[in-house]
Amino acid sequence: MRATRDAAARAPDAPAAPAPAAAPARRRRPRPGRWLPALVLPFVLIAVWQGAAMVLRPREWLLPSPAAIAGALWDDRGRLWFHAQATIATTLAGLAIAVGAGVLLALLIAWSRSAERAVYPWVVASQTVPVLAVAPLLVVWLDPEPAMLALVALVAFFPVVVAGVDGLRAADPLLARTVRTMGARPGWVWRHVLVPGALPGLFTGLRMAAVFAVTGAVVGEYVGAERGLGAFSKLTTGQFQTALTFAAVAWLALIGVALFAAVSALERLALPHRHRAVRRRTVRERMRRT
Amino acid sequence: MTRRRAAPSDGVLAHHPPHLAARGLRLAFPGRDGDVPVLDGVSLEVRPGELVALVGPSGSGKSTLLDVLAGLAEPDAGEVLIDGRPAPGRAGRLTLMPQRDALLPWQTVARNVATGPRLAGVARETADGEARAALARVGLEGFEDHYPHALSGGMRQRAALARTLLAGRGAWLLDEPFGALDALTRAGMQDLLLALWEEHRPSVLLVTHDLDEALVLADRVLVAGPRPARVAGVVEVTLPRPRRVEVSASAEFAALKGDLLALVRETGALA
Ligand SMILES: Nc1ncnc2c1ncn2[C@@H]1O[C@H](COP(=O)(O)OP(=O)(O)OP(=O)(O)O)[C@@H](O)[C@H]1O
Ligand SMILES: [Mg+2]
Repeated sequence: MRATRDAAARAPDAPAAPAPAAAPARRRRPRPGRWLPALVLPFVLIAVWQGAAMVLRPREWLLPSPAAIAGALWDDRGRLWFHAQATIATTLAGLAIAVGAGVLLALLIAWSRSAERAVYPWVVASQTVPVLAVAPLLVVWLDPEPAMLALVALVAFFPVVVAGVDGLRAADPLLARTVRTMGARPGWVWRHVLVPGALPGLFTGLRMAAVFAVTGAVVGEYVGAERGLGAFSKLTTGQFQTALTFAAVAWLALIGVALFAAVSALERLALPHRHRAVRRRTVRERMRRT
Repeated sequence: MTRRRAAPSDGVLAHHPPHLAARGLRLAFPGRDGDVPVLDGVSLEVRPGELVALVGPSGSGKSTLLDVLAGLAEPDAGEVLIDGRPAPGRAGRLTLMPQRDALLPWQTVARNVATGPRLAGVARETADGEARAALARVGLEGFEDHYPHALSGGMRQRAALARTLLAGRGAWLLDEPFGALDALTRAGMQDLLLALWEEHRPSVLLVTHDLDEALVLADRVLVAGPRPARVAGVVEVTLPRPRRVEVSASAEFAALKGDLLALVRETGALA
């Protein structure tokens, strides 16, 4: 052999050294400042609001000051918690129904063209139903409890179906076809290729469904319940106890954000770390190599 | 040394049926102005343990042919025989390595490579061990627990080759496996494929549009013209085995390449 050979020569794309399995050095650890940006906006708004309330002194039933709302949140915490429990229970139960039904429908629609033709238009049409108008009817037809669950499920199942169908359909067909040539049966392809491929999209739908579910529960309670934050805010506005209404709204916001965060946490568990890390990059990070 | 151009039906061995055979495959895709024929009576054979290359211009229907052979698409006419017998519902009997790597992004490299054994019902630990051994064989030790996106294009292609190695039960369909790689990496991969083929002796049909690659790797090179694809001619590659990529520097190689180029020109692919 004429050409000199370097003992260390290797294929051009071989690594300089075997990298450690998980490469933990690059992973971003949550810094204490992570939650700070989220607090800037409410802080500014509350400060402005409180200042305006102190200068303009509007009547309290018209616009209570943040301090008055904070007082209501604390003084009536027992009552608020009693109603919040009902709202949380309705939201979670309705959301569970919505996710179950939504995922099943998504599987069906993504699987078969005729199922898509028969079902999908009606899924879309269901979202044009004026919820406020049918809510009282639902309460009359069913009992208040199932009526509320139906309402939550009605508003929350839609994003699950759409995200699920698009997620399953967006899968790279090459992946499924390749594993089929290695002997994979349809069941295996569903489990290991189609569903994992659809999960990121599905979680987007779930996040939306979680927030929609809270709205659905409040509308239901407003129309047809005695317990729950929706019913409570109806009662308090009727009695001109506006600070308590705002306190209920604060609770609802908290429930919505908590549910959204819970779904995101679930996503972190469901998607393997590295795969997820790529997905969660910001648009700016995507334009660089990180 | 004998070189010849012949119809592909020549040279059928009497004793062993070809591992893979196609007879008169036709397929047309519906187009705006009527059907567009893509396969126009493709016939070919791959004997047991033989490495056959198919060269043809881009868009001539090579990937479509592999889909039909793999059982992912049904031809309009013609049949596919495996071990001499018609093979309807053959998906899963010939392992396809597609043009892109097609690794599952949500599984680690080792799990991806273990797909074949896992599907064959091998226990998890055993399959994992086989996958790690195969990865070491293709020079990817240390990357078993990485996800595919953390690998370079060439490394991903090697992982895909390792997966094919474990999944392919003796017959591989390789669709331009090294088409997207730079020349140096490609030469390394060709050497690797030659070594793996010598070790395992699978029956291989390799699609490529790199004439040198076809001659370095194959026992026979089939030439397809522009769409619709038909096998227009064959070059028997008489270069000695075992080979390495250096064989492409030999005078014999140059002569074979001359033959192959002449054949390709006849098909109209150079026009
Ligand atoms: N699903 C499809 N519908 C309609 N036409 C198709 C379809 N798939 C492929 N074709 C057409 O069939 C022809 C052959 O495609 P194919 O992918 O088999 O080519 P190829 O020989 O593999 O090309 P390349 O070397 O670029 O990979 C192309 O002209 C393409 O336009
Ligand atoms: Mg192709």
